[in-house]
Amino acid sequence: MTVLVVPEDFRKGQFILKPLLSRLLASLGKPRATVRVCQDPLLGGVGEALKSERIAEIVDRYGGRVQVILLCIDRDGNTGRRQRLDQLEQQFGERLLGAEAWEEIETWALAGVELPPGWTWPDVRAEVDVKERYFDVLARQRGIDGGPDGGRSELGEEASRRIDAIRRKCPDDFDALAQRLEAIVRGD
Amino acid sequence: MITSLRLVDFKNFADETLGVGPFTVIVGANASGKSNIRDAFRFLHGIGRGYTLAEILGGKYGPGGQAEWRGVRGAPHEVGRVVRTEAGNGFALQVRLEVGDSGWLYLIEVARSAGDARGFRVVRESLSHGSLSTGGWEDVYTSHPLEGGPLPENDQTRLSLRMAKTGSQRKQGHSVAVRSDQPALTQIREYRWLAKSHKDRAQRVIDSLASMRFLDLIPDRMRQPSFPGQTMLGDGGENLPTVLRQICADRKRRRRLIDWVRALTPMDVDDLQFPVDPITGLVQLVVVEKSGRTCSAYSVSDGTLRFLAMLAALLADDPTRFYFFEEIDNGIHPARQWLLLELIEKQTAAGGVQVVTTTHSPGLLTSVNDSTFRHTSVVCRPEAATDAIIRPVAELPDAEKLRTSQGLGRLLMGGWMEDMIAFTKDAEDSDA
Repeated sequence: MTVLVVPEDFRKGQFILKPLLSRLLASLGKPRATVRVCQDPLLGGVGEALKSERIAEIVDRYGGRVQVILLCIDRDGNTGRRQRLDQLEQQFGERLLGAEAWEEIETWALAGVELPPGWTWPDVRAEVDVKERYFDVLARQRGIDGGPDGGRSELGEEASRRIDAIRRKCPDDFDALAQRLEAIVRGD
Repeated sequence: MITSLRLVDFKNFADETLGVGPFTVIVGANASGKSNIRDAFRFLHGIGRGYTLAEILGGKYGPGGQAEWRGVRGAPHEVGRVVRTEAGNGFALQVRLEVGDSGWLYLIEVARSAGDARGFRVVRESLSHGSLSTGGWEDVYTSHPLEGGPLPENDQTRLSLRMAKTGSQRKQGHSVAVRSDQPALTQIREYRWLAKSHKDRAQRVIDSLASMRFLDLIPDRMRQPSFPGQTMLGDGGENLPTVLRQICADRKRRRRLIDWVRALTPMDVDDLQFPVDPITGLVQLVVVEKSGRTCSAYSVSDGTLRFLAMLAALLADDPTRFYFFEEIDNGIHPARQWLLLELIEKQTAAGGVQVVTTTHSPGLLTSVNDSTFRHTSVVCRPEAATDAIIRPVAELPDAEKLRTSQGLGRLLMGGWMEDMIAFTKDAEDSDA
């Protein structure tokens, strides 16, 4: 199975999305899926990532070769983004899946790791600025914030070992995505 | 002209072939293996220079003990990819050359020797020659003949060859036992009784391999004044002033040289001068602008010097036939890289000169012409793999269409080539 993940900014997102999606697909029966993260330098934020013309370029580049193009963006507390993703899905057909992380991709990583004492999952889940308020803090506490990934490789890899926990803790976004991918895998 | 290079168990290549054209561009991530291709060409060049395997791989010292040749990068056990031949850590290279209707296919397989010394020896070697139009090929010599019976058994120090049958021979050609520490290609001329036609064909390949240059231009060396009469551009760009002076002795070529430099730089270059230092007698390089302002090589930018050196190499009286430039765009402004490309595409299209280069420049890649595009390859190490693969970019899905609609440079920046190789590989695995 071939999946192209399109984060709104690959520079950080790739370190979390790649391990999580590879393990998710493995748990769905596709342990050898090829998951690549699109490194389009022109997608430098959610504004660009939601533009039809940008997605059209990516579909043009990869469309014929990948089974799923997975556009992954942060919700950032903006409830209208799902609607925009739905529009894009309609425009580009079933090959394009749009996913929004509530509220940021880093939330998914935090759902799969052990939280420090005093932190509660409902607080993390409800936080719009989860990256700054929780993720970066945890990376600093662990002393892994100095690299180009800001600790995402380690925490992403660690979280990927607990896919079930992430699905359980993030039912509206991660689990919803898992179910859509599961349907594709079944029909694969 | 070299048309392909096959690398078997060489460095991080299991069995890959690089298609080579008049101008060949190699792209790929850092540490993907681009420089290993350069090492393979250097190995072949070492053969052309008549060196032994130990000299090619470990370095050659002249009669006075001076370093004449830097060995191939890496420790002895790092040249071969894996334990493959009976002695382990072996590798093979195969190069194809074409001139007019004639083709040559040269194969050499090398293995580590057994015992404490662990040197290298040739365990298989062949040279074939053929007609490209008729497709008729025959071995000039081979260590593994399909016909004519077995050759005398090789020991660690000798490699037995069967030469092609000549007119006077009824059944089979001569067999010769050459030293195994040196490619047979450069030994057979020592056997007086072998047919001249065999030696001539071997010499043709030797000449091609010998006529290679691997320029690794270093600005500080190019800035140095040079000794009068030195007309050989050093690998680091040494002797640039005297090499340029020789080119400028011809009025037409001087004009051409200056036109190219003027197009590259914002300086209004009017001339090049080569004053001789009154104390040392060495020749210096000075750029003269239209306003009369002069700029010595010490003040000229690194990029301009690199461009001048490439001009010196390509516009020389008798240019080398094959150049390998590492990261050709180094130091050249993106807005001017097309000029460099234009220069090389022009010179190589005229025939007689081949250039292979590596690049990381999206700008350069975006500007390549159709011929260069067909000879652009990507070197890539698939995830979780130690081996690298080489793929012509033009053969990647939709490459031609995307080159027009999105530009090769953008595809390079976005890692599209590596992505396509990964996705294609997934499809192949699924099919399997």
